[in-house]
Amino acid sequence: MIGFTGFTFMGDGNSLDPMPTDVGNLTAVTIQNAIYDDVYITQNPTFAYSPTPPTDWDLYTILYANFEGTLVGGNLDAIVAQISSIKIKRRVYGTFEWTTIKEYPVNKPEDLSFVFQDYLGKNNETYEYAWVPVLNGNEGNYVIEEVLSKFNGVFIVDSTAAYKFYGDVSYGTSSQVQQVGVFTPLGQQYPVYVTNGALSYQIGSVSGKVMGSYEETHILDRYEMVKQKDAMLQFLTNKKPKILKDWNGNLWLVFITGSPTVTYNNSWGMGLMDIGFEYGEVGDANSTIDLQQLGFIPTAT
Amino acid sequence: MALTKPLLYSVPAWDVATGYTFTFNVTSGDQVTGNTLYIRDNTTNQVVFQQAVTSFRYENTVPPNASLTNGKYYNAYITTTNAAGQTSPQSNVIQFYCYSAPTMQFTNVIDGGTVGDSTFAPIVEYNQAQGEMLNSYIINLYNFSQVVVATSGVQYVGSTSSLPIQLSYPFSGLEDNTIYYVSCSGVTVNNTQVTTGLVQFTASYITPSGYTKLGLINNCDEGYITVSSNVVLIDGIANPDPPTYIDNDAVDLRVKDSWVMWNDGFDIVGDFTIQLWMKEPNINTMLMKLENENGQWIELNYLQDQDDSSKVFVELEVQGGYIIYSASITAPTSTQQVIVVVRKSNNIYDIQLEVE
Repeated sequence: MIGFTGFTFMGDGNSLDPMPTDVGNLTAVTIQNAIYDDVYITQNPTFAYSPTPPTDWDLYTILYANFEGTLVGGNLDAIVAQISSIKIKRRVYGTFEWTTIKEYPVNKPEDLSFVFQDYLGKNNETYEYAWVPVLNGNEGNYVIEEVLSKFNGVFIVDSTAAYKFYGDVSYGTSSQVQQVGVFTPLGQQYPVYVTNGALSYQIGSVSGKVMGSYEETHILDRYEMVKQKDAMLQFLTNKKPKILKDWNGNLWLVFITGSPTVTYNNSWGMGLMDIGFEYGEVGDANSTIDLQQLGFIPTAT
Repeated sequence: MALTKPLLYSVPAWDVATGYTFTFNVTSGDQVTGNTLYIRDNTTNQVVFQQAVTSFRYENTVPPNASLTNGKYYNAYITTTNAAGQTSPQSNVIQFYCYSAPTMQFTNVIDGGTVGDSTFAPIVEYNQAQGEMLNSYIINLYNFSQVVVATSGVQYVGSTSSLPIQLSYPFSGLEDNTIYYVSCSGVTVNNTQVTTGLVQFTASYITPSGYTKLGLINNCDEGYITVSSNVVLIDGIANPDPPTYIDNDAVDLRVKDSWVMWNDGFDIVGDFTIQLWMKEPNINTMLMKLENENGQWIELNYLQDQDDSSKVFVELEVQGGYIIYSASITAPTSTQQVIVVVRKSNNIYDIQLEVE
């Protein structure tokens, strides 16, 4: 009875048709039983009838095959012409807000293919990632996939490198820092506590064994461990904020405070070492703005 | 019993034009039957406003446009009186500013307006005539039910040289043709609250298209997710393979069981138009079939008119019993081009058969 919707108000043979089933998200098209010159599919429902096929792709074109010796229905050059960059966004599954974690400029078809590692996720959390085409600042349709972030060990990561603590990892006592002023008025039994600031952050310490590639080879290589120790000390003192995360789901955005330490195992010829460091939180590891300000993700979203 | 020292509560900056109600408390002593509010210029300590009220209420309301000036710093205290006409000791003294009401408004979206992108960074302009700075603000995004779906959290303004200032926070992932609300609320350095109220807008945008395989691999031992992007070219498959091309400009699919299919690298969501340019379609056969991953389908059939065998028409059948027909036209010759248009708009289909 779509006639009553006003589309063909009792005006033609389709007036009394039932409402159509919503067959959406069409992913396959088959043609047969004719000589086909061109097939053109567009998102534009008002695409004007034309006795001749279009000569160009536009922003709405989904598929266009002209059978000039091939069955290709896509046009990579056309896609590139429509896209100025690709954003990769991420959000915790079930939440609304996306965080842009990477943006790649697109100038040629090869720019559409890339691989990178995202170290910023916490353990045992399901994330959605979105591939978002951008044209002149306008974002396109999101291609969304999800993955469960699951890992073993304790990782310390910054924008330059990532290191893993696996053997003999230990945390020192951590503190949640706040500032409370105590005033002791005359003639009053109890003091007055004043908390004007919003200061609230964690401090703590971590130590763990330098083990080289033991996890893969099961060999403790002294020379490799010394090299790794030197690299880790350089990493820990490079003055860059870091992400500290572990298999328990902890995720901290930290700065290394104090001086990292190396404790040598003398009964093993000083070949085994523990590296330790202290840290203080510098922001919220789940905050887009904090991650932007500290250089973990691009500032434009 | 006697009157005890009242406690006058601190006040935020307020606008002389609107007035303000001072409140206080008394914890013991005689019943309070009235109070007197004294407001002094904080520089000279001269009383510039004094008002006695007879009331059991622990409040004293300064009327609009009293003898005070916006932009000035004042202090105030209060005394209470009892039924015997006795007066209490002075309360504590509080300081406050009088400022005209600050303004806060969105500059890049209007109520009922449209945002043409899936990412939206509302810009809010804050101003105050006497230069009172904003201390903090929060911008919230609401869905149609006015439930908060994203928030900036509390943002602190920091030092700013002059007013007005512009505030912004980006929200992403807005869905096309969807109604949202946005609001910004702030607190000035003197604790005056200011807000834009809820502003409704619709996200409606034209989107660039691209199709990709987004690969995600969890690396358990390394602690990261590998993200890969591989663009998919929409390449057809055929039976027979290769199909029969005519002059490298057309494909001949008239033979029974010959077909061309595209089933990877695209997704037709929502409205669409499909146009086919062809010749010599086989009478009373299916020309095209569209399918989705749930097995639902749409078929386009080319049929002879039962009432007039010289005429033909096309029929579109959508799974579920929905069938529509084009107008009948004279059957094309073998040299004429046949053009079929299939449209879907707001879940309403339309088909058209033409011969050129």
